[in-house]
Amino acid sequence: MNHKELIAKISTKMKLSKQEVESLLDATVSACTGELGEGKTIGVQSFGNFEVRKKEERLSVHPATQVRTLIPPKLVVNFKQSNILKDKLKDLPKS
Amino acid sequence: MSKEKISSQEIIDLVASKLSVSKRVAEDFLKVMFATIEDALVEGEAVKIKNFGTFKLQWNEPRKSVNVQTGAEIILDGYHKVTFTPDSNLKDVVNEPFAHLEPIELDAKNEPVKELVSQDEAFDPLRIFNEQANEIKDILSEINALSNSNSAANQQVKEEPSVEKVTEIVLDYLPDVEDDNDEEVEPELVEDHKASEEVLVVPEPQLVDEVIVVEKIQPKEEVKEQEIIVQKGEEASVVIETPAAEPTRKDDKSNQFEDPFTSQSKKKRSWKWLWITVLVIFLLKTGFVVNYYLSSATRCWIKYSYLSDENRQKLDVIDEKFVSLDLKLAGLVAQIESLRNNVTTTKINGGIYIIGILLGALGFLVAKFVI
Repeated sequence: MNHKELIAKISTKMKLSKQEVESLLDATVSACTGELGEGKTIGVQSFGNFEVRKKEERLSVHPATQVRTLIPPKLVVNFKQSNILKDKLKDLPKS
Repeated sequence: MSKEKISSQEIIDLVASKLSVSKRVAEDFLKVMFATIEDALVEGEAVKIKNFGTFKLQWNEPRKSVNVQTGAEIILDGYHKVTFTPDSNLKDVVNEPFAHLEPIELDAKNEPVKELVSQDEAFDPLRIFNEQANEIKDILSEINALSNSNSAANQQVKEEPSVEKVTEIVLDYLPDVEDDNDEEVEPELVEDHKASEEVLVVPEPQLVDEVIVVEKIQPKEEVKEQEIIVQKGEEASVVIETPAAEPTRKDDKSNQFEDPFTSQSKKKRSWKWLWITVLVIFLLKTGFVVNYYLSSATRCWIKYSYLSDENRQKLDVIDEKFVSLDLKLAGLVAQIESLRNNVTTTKINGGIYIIGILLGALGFLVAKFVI
């Protein structure tokens, strides 16, 4: 399901126009991005947490050429699902 | 990094203030949105949100683990995990503090390889020498097959590295050379010497002495490997010539006698000349220095020991005059320079005047034509 399909579904559920939904979604995404950019953790009830984690710098060795490369530290977004969501997904068939 | 945690409520506030909608609408929207994403995930679909990221389902296999307290093995059930892959936009925004850092390639591993290569290059002369030795051996075997008489000469080249043996062999077969054909060898030898610009004219009977000289000199060369290699290179060239000029075998042999000797004498001479030139330069330099210092020193010495007071005063006066002359000269030079500057400026001014006059004439002519 891509962006447009998601907007269509939400609009049918909330009985709002697609444009409204789209603007709402954009606003939400930009708000989340801004908060994560400040290093804050966003907790969504019954869904999960969006967290910023720091990956330390490391030394990687290219297996073929044996060239060692120093990978600098970086910040990444990590999503951890809540237990409620995990329980809901338990009923799914094993794939 | 501040580990501040915010709930969905703050997101709702932000969205509401941004779009000027009621908080209720924003809250509803957020709930519906995550509910929709959940539904899609439960159906096994991946959800993609523009500028934010992708939510996907991942099946984690059941795995064995150990209860830390009891030590009993337990099996953890497999489960579905929601993975979130941030979009490049979100990645960039989050990683902004470290965005300027880039991976650095460390070439520490490459340097030893280069060293190895250089070592190989260093061994190259030896390799070349080995190849040459192999070539020489091949040629020697061919020549051996051709005739027995040549074999003696070839053995000499073969065992050249051990100098003592070589000289022995040379001494052994020298009488043969003399017995075989004296008349042939003599003129050729003289020619060779002339060609190599050696002043030594060696008559046939003295050949033995010459070889002995070689014998005496060669042990010294044993110490330096490089010289030996050079010598062998020469020999190799000589030997390569042999199959082509087999009938004139004696010629080659005489070359063999000559080559080490000439090279040695030339080297010695060059060293001698170098030393002589260095010595001459050193003597000239010392002479100049001594002269320079002695002239002033003797002057002072004469001034204060031999001269009377009157003469000394006269000398002082002369010195002062010299100093004043120097000052005057400096003043003159400064004046000349200032004059030169003036001349250049006047030249420029004159140029401007001339241009002005020309322009005036042009304007006059134009006016005349127009009227």
